[in-house]
Amino acid sequence: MRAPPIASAPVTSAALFLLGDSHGRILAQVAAERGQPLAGGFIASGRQLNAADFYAAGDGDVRFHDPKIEATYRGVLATTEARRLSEIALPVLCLFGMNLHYLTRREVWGDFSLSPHAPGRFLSTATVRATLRAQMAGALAFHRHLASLGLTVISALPPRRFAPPPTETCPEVFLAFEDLAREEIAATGTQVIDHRSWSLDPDGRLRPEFAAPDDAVHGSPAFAGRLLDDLFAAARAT
Amino acid sequence: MNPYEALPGEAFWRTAVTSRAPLEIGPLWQPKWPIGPETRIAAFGSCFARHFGRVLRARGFSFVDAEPAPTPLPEAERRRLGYDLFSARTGNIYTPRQLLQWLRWASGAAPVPDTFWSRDGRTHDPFRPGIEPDGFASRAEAEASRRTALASLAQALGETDLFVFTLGLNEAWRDKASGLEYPVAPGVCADAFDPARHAFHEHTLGDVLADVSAALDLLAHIRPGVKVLLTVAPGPLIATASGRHVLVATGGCKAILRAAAGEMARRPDCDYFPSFELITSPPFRAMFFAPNLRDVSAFGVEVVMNTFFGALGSAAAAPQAPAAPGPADPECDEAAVEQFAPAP
Repeated sequence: MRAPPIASAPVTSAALFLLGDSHGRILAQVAAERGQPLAGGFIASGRQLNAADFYAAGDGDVRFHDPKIEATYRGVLATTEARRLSEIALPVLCLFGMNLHYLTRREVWGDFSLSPHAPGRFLSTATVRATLRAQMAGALAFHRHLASLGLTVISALPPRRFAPPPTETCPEVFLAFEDLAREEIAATGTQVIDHRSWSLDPDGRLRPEFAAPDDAVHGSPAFAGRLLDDLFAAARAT
Repeated sequence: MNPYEALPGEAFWRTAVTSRAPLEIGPLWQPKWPIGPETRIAAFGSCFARHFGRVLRARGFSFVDAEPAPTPLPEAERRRLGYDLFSARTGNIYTPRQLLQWLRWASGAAPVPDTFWSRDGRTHDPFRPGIEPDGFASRAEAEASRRTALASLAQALGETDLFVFTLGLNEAWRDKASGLEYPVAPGVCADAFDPARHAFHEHTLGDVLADVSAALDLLAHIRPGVKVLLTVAPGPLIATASGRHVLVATGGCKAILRAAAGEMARRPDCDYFPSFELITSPPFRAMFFAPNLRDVSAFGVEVVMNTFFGALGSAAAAPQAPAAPGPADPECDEAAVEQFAPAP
């Protein structure tokens, strides 16, 4: 999917500042097309934003250890009038940690069962939650850092889509992680938007119109549009 | 001429012990059979047994881990949740009777009990009370987890060439109706002690011999040709319910376990490794114990494991500086009893 251009001049009328993983690309693109006041943009792929210590905190800001991500972040920050994160005067939409299709990949979870009623090597809820916390450790720390800066932070569940091989999502684990990840991120002080009431069909599958047609894990422009409505409503309510 | 004249120096205390520096005493063990990096080794038992798995892996030996954790789970969480400690997630197995129970359940020789404990809305497995410190979210989870542990134990037994078991206690608590034995008294981790349902049992030497013998026979049936290496946990009892002073009860307990291990080691399929002597004997002056004189320090564990691998011909690692363990080993189920000690 093509990345939307990052604004070179500050978006002074913005209502929301995006720190996005790959799910943020379509949000930024649709917001730009609809003229919605979204500053910020894509920072890096989700798997780069989960590992512990992917950034350093200090001076009311963050510094990403990967030079490319750091440069991207500085460019994104330049879409506002802020010189550092703590100066962001907007609610922050942070999607770090929400790359559930990757966290629930078969390579990690394929040997296990999360249901006590299913055959296989059962993992207790405590083990699953502890593993999820480890997988998301960096992202959770980042969310806590945003809260410590006094920022209002919003996030959103990803669309319910499962990656094909070689990453190959375990659907059972993905479904469990929707709730666990929402709880873990909410525990950092971030408000998590749960779109499942409108994005799923009665069988619990993502409605076809909300799936990006050209890849297996991201949402469509229609999905992004509905989600942006929810996100801006949440931002206005803060 | 008398029988002692031809004996080597190691047969005499003065030449083998008194005249040597503590860390130069030995060799204390000659393995009965070859043990090498390709030997598949499973370990179960009391707290001391878990050191085998950790060190075996670190030394490139083949440790049977039939119930691994998800790979991203950090080491501290693995240990808190009972992974990586033994070859399956059985938790501590302190007595030969408890070992026999597990082997019978895993092999189908006895029905798996449906007993579970509860506390504060959470479900605990009475046969693995420390495996989920906060309890399971539901009874269905506890049942599924026990099924997984038993399947993993069966898998481990089927893959194992050498079964290491550390004998820990001769004191135990039983369910009166079923006769089943718990590793920790009811009421310590969950449930409540009820004299009508629960009873204290102190295994005699005869009990221990019978149970170890039955366990070894069952192991040989499950896995023909398997070898067994017994050790005795060197740490004293955290508490005794015998009515005797804990120091005296410890002496009695260790004497029974040590005698049983020695007797069993007469079998061709069984050997004894002297970790107990390495930690507790007079020449070592309790130097391998933590300040509470119960827990074995990291230094002591390293010396024991160096002795084990040294006897196998594997290069011994240099002992590390003594660590400073806490007042009780938090991964040991028995440690939960310590909280009930009165103030000194």
